[in-house]
Amino acid sequence: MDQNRWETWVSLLHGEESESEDNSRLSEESEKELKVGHRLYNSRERVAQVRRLKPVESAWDELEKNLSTRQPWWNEILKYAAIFVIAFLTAAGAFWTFQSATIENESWASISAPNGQISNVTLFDGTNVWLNAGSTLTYKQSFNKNNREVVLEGEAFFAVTKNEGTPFIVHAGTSEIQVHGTEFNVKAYSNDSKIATVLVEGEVEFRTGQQSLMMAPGEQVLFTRNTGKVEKSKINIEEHIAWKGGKIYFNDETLFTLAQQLERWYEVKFAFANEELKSYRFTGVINKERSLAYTLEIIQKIRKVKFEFNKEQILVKDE
Amino acid sequence: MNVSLENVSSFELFFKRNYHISCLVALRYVKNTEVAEDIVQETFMYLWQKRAELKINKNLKSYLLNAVKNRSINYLQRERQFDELLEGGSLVDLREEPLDSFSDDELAVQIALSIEVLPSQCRKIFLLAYQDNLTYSEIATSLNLSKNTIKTQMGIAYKILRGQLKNYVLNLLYIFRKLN
Repeated sequence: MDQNRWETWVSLLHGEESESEDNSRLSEESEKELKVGHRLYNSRERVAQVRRLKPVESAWDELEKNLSTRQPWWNEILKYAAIFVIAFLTAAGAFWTFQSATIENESWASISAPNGQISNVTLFDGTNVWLNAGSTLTYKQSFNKNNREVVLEGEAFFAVTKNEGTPFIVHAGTSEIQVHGTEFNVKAYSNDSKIATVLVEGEVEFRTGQQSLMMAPGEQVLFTRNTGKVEKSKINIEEHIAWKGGKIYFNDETLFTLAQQLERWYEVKFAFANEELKSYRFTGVINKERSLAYTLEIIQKIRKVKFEFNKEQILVKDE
Repeated sequence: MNVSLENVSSFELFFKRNYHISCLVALRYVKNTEVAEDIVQETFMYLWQKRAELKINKNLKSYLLNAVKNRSINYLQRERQFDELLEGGSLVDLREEPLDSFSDDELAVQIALSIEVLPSQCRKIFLLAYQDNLTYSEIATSLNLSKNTIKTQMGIAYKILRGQLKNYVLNLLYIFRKLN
């Protein structure tokens, strides 16, 4: 591009000239050449911000003073520093809601995976948590200072960082699970009648009221909310944690349970034409990568049911 | 470029390389320049104090920028400026960002550095148009020059800057991938 055309292009960029027949093809001509110029122009605001900052040298002088004297002002700031959460999402387009509320002078924060999303979060103590769709994890602002307690509503898989001094406690309904460093899964959606805890690795203690139960890897404890009944059984771990990878195993589960899971994953509502339909039983795997339509079609093939799409809900009927 | 923070001089280098970009990241959240600079100072101070414990198995720069981001969000929460967390209705994103999501900030820092190498008259004219949004006519009047001179100088400024940034922009993606 010659000098004249270049100057004209810069003028255009700065709104000094309007497009005319003569220069309208400028940008097509040498797109590559102009790319850098465009980025330069579009960076105006950020560049102005940089230019308002103090020079690096004087910023360093300030910091260096504090490095040598280690003034206590820093401790003050630490005291107020809220819990440090690095969160990242595995589901594309997912977003987090972050809320804080004050209960009994103690500040609580919560992280949610909205319906339709599976999310992964690392807590300040390094514990890794997978949250299934429609789940919320609540913790005190003082988490990792003198406690490692969280409240779970929904389903989560925990890979707890080892810390003998401070136990990690998950509160779910009226029960709690205490561990020191281990991997386990808790399913405690409020509309589920049972809370299911599955131990993958290590050792955990399941507590509710007066009862306390030690669990070994590969074991599941089912706690029935209404009756307080606690049952322990051997299970296939993979089936219980496959949801992390977007798969759900159904082992002779009811259509009602299956519909609840689909509601959380696909953000839909199901309605049943009659009660009997709810108790139809299914065994199989559902893959979140597949569309809802595909999944429903498979279900229709397995069992003689029909799904009818209405405006607000999906009606389940006999075929 | 895995920097270790073992001694003051390597820490100084790390600070000087990343101070401005850190401030830009803070300014995404807080509006005030001084507050942003304070947050960045605190973050570096934190890194310095924790240098022995920090087991960073990934890039230190990425860790720094995400720490600045978290600290900025914490500041807003402390100040109860929740409304500032709501940008256009969507809640602030707490996910850890990969290094290349800071590439626009990095570019801005490079541009600011490159502007300093422009010849002084050229730089003056360029900044009036680029930073202060003056029209060519307004610049011509205030500097007592012809509008044509402004047009020529602007062309020169863009040409020099493009030359300075060309390799940088083209390599940006590659560099960030490599760093990650």
